[in-house]
Amino acid sequence: MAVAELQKLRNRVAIAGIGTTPQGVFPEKDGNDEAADAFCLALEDSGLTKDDVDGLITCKSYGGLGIDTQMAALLGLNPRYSATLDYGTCNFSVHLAAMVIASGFADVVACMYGTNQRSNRNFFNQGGDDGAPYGFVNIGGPASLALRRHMYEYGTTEEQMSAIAVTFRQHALLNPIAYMKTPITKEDYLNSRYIVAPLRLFDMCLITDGGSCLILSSAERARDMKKPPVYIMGMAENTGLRYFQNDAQLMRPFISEVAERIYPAAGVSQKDIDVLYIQDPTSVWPLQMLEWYGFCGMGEGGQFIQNGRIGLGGELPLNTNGGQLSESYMWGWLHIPEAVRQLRGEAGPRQVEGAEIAQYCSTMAFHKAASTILRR
Amino acid sequence: MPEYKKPLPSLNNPRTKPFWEAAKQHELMFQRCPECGYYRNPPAPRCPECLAVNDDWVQVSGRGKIWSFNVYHHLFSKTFEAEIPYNTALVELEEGPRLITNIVGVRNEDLRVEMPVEVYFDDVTDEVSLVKFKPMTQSA
Repeated sequence: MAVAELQKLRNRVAIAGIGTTPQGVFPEKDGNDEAADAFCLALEDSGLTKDDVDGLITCKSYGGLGIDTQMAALLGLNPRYSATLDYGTCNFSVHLAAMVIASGFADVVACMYGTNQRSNRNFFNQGGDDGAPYGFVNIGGPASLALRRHMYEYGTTEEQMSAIAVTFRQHALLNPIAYMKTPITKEDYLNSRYIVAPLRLFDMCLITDGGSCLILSSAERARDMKKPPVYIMGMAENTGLRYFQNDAQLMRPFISEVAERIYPAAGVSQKDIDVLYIQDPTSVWPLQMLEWYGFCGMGEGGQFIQNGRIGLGGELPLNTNGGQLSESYMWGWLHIPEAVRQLRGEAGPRQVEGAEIAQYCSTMAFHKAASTILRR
Repeated sequence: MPEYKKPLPSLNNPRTKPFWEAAKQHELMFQRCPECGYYRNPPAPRCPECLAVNDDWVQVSGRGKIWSFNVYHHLFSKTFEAEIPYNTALVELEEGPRLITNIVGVRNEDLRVEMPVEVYFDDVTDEVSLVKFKPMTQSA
């Protein structure tokens, strides 16, 4: 039933425009300025004017910004529909936009996120009442617990894990907006300092200031726009909201239900994915999600990522933008724009030849999972 | 006692107060649902299992095992400067509930997943005893 309904949305909504700002340190701008910059870039990319936009979905950002009321005033919009999501990763915003368009609440929806989190040194380090007294702070805390457990259960090694950070850095070197531009080797990885062992420096994302915006419309309308549409083939979500500090939270088995729904919804299988994107605030996310989405068996992630398989030219190029580890954190708002560039053939030196179908998988911390499959 | 500068749990939260009051007495207590027996951690106004509103506070054995652990090498919070590198762990108690904690009485390099541990109350201030764990001295 649920999948049959999701199938009805197949290829009905498209991404018609993308905008990503330079990533770096821009203390003169706040998060809303960054989102506005990204919006203007996305308008230009789509060939639309702001008056064509009748739906607005913003994403809350550091310092109480990113609210729809603020953004609409800043951009001079009175959209028919507006909303603000309290969390990022872009997937949840894109799914809401697709629902808004498919249900007729609006025709052209702009999804946006902007932040100046780096300039403001807000790095999510505070910890909760149950963890802070013990020094359990930062996303590296739960992420390293999950990795250690993965190593214990499946024999995953630090040497295997190096493939994620090293591969993404290679990709970032080919991406003009990526922030990290120094090549790293497996040896560099293994010699790098621990942040929260077993997570090392290169397993942790970097925070920058920047903005990202996507403009979506019905597939029909998108076909008349400036760039070729990128269609949303499939979408699915699931939550593990009630879980607290147990296997069901930290190992994120709730992701598997997204996999069960999204491939039938899109009418494709893992083998059809030409280029894959996985949100990567730490390298644990790609490890876990490759397994939960069935690109390899449970516990086989460490082996699967070896021998160039996830690099450009490999069997399953992963995070061709460099991901959050090497491009920029941006709460996961840069993976879909990169997927769109790949499917349009605009990815320059990191273009995956003949890429037709892309997938993006993300989670909101350890609480919710979402995925989108796109095609050109 | 020298001034303690690291973060302390709030003692004014009525929901978690019984936990910290028991810890002060060197007892490990959890809220348990009198209807279905589910241990609620964190303490909650309703049982997330059966939605009952009543609650009991019951003492547990204090014995458990390390589900996983990590070692902080990067100093995120200046108040932990003297501790670096320090461990944190997720301990699963025999009765089921889990806690984020520190493991004391063992070198970080000797920590192991599934290591049996028992509770150790660290009297960090006159008001607060933090709930930590140490390797089990003898099998129970």
